[in-house]
Amino acid sequence: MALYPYKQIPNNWDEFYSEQVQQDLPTTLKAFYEQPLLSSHQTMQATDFVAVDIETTGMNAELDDIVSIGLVPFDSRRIYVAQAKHWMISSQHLTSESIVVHGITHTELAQAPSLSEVLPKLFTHLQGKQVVVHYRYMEREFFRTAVAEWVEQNFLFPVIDTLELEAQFLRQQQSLASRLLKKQLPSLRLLYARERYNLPAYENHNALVDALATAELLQAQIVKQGLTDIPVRTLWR
Amino acid sequence: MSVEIQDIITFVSAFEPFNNLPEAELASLCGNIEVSYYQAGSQILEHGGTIDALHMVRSGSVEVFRRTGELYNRLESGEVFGQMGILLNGHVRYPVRALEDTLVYRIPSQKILEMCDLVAEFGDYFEFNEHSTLQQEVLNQADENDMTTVRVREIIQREPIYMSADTPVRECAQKMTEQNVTSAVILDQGSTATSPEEDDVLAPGIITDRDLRMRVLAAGLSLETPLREVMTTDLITIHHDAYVYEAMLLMLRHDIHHLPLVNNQKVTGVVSLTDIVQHESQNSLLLVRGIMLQETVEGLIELSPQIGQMMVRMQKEGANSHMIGTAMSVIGRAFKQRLLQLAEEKLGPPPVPYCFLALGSMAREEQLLVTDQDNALILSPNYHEDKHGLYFKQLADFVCDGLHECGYTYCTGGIMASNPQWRMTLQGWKEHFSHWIEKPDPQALLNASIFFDMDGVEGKTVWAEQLIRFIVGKAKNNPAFLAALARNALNRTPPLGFFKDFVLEIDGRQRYSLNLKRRGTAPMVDVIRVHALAEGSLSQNSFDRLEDLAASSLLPEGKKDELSDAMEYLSMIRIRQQVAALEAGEEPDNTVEPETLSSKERRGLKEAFQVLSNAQKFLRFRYTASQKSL
Repeated sequence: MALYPYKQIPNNWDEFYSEQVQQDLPTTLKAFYEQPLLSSHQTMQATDFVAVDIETTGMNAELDDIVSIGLVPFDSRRIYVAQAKHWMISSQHLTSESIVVHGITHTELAQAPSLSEVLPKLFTHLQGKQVVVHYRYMEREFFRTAVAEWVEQNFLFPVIDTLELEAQFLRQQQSLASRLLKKQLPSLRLLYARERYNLPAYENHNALVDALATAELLQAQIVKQGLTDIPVRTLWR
Repeated sequence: MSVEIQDIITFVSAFEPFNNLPEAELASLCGNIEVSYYQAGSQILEHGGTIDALHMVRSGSVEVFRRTGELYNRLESGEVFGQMGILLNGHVRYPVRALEDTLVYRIPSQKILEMCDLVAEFGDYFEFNEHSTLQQEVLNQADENDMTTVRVREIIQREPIYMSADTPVRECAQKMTEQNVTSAVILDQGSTATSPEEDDVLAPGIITDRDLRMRVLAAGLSLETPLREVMTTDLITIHHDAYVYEAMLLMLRHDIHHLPLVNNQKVTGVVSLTDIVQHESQNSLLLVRGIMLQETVEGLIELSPQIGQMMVRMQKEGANSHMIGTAMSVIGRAFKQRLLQLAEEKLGPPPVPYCFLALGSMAREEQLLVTDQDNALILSPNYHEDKHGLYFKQLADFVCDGLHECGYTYCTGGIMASNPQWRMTLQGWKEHFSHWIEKPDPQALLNASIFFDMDGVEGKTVWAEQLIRFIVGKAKNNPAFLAALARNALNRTPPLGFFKDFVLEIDGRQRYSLNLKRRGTAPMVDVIRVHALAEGSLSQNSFDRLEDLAASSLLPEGKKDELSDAMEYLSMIRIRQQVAALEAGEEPDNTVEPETLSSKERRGLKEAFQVLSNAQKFLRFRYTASQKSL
């Protein structure tokens, strides 16, 4: 089966999943696709989420590498820190620039597992959960590229994108005039989005903290944007 | 193994009680946190619901309510709630609601209980009941102090010696010398020397070294004189289970060196000044002795810096605010007494008897530093303005000027004996109070509240007692007066903002600060006074007044202790601030800058202010509600 090209996603997720289970996949990836997708009635408040964040050597999934992955399972009521995961990943492409950004050193990464060791664990932790990211073109594209390079298979899944939710909400809030004039929205970056919900500013950025920050943001968006009883599928990206 | 999120650890460890945890335990605790977001106005804990975690405010703020729906506390970032529920039975005791959009860290109960066992200080933090921090602080204070925990019977050196009233003084002196004691207890069923106002059924006597010297030798009496004729009979005694400081204060107050201890109407021992001095090397007795020995006003002025030093010492020794307040009042009283004696030496004996009154904090025995003088005079029924007016004017001026120079500054409201308006006969005072009570005018009462805290200092102090009985009897049955007083007691509110934080004011030194007296202890005293008058309590001290209220149904259960703890806490912080200022060589005042306090102190202070705020609400409801509907 052909691989989906960069930044393209299936029109129909149900069809896509049933196609994938037919393929000859590594066990963990197969198990991931075998989990049925959410029913169309399932609401935000009744769903198990997992927030995921990655740190990379750059912005381009086709050129840059994943340096670390953080994830935190949660639901609309609670974030389960005890079940959070944080993996460092050894990489060949670590530039001195990205070291400054993430504070991860070569030594740390030398001892870290390779991406191919971590990916099966990642599948297991995402399996059966609704994935949540802040800006889908990072995590999903990097994961897709990594799996394609690794086993030449598709790794795609529907996400809830907190950045997209924020953008839509802010647009709705805007006056008609502002909308017509295409006035710029306030910053959608995680830090600024969180500020609008009275969420604290975290200082030590890494994939895990940002995954936690994303989970908190979605919890806040659910109550403040009135998404509690909204079917999850309507928010899929 | 759980992951470490540095941001969570850094945050949690910045606050009590988590700052007491070793690193590994802290990491394990933080690794098990659950996070929940609550929109402003949403319920976080429902009364009676189950609870399995200690809650910590990460951002935003919450309100804690009593079961009755009454607001109990506001908590902000770093503060915890739900401890009652997890320690009791896993059911929510106090409902909690988000005041702002709030992020909450939930720390599993099991982890908390584990840590309580593991780290003693952590456990201590959760050892509390109803009013947590405050009560704990107050208890801690008491623990540290010896004088509040040691009973007077424990420090007396030996059994007293007993003599019959018919024994000749020589025999008694021989016995005392033999036994190496400075006093003897005299047993005599026939003694009738008690004054009619005292219902003292004990009626033994006591004789001391000093009595033998002054009443026998100096007076040139025969050594065969029976003890009956020279012994002291109207005894001041104390129960043998009383605390050392209570005995000390009683001795200070009456300027006596020997205090018989009684139990079951029998004298079980005599505590001497020496016993107490030995027990408490540094004490205010010596200062009072010093004051009484001064022959000139200048001498008194020279002694006055010791007042502050005394407070520093007592605070260091761990005395509570009641003890310090009483000691400071007793010292202030000694200055007044000595000044009056010096005035009488200068002006001659008074032409008619008088009673010098202390008003306000000194009368309540709650005096601290930075206090102005509030006093007045009760004059004899035989007083005639034209014949005696000049004498009492001069007497009052002498005392008030002297007090001013000793650091008890003139009362800005002119409530001083030197003001002719406040020199009246007992009858005059009764009429004056009748007017205040029967035709209550909140405006007129505004500055009169300190007149309702009164104590006789010198002269015919029994007139002061009579006047207090008269006032209390009248006030008790006068709801309109109580309502007016209650309204005035609501004028000064505690400095808590509508949301959660302290409301600061700019003080004399252009710093943002809290005024602990004006916004704390003073309104608290006002609140307690209203209840005490309503109950007919004759006590003047706020703690004593609260004790008197214990038996009544005036206050809801638990309120009395809550008020008492809050009063103690506010006073102690005030005292600590004054002590810190003195030690830094600064002028003490009644303000505090919140950032100079620890987070625990800030929390205690907020809790105390909240108690005051609730007490004011209750006061409004209790005394003024019915008035409004009229």
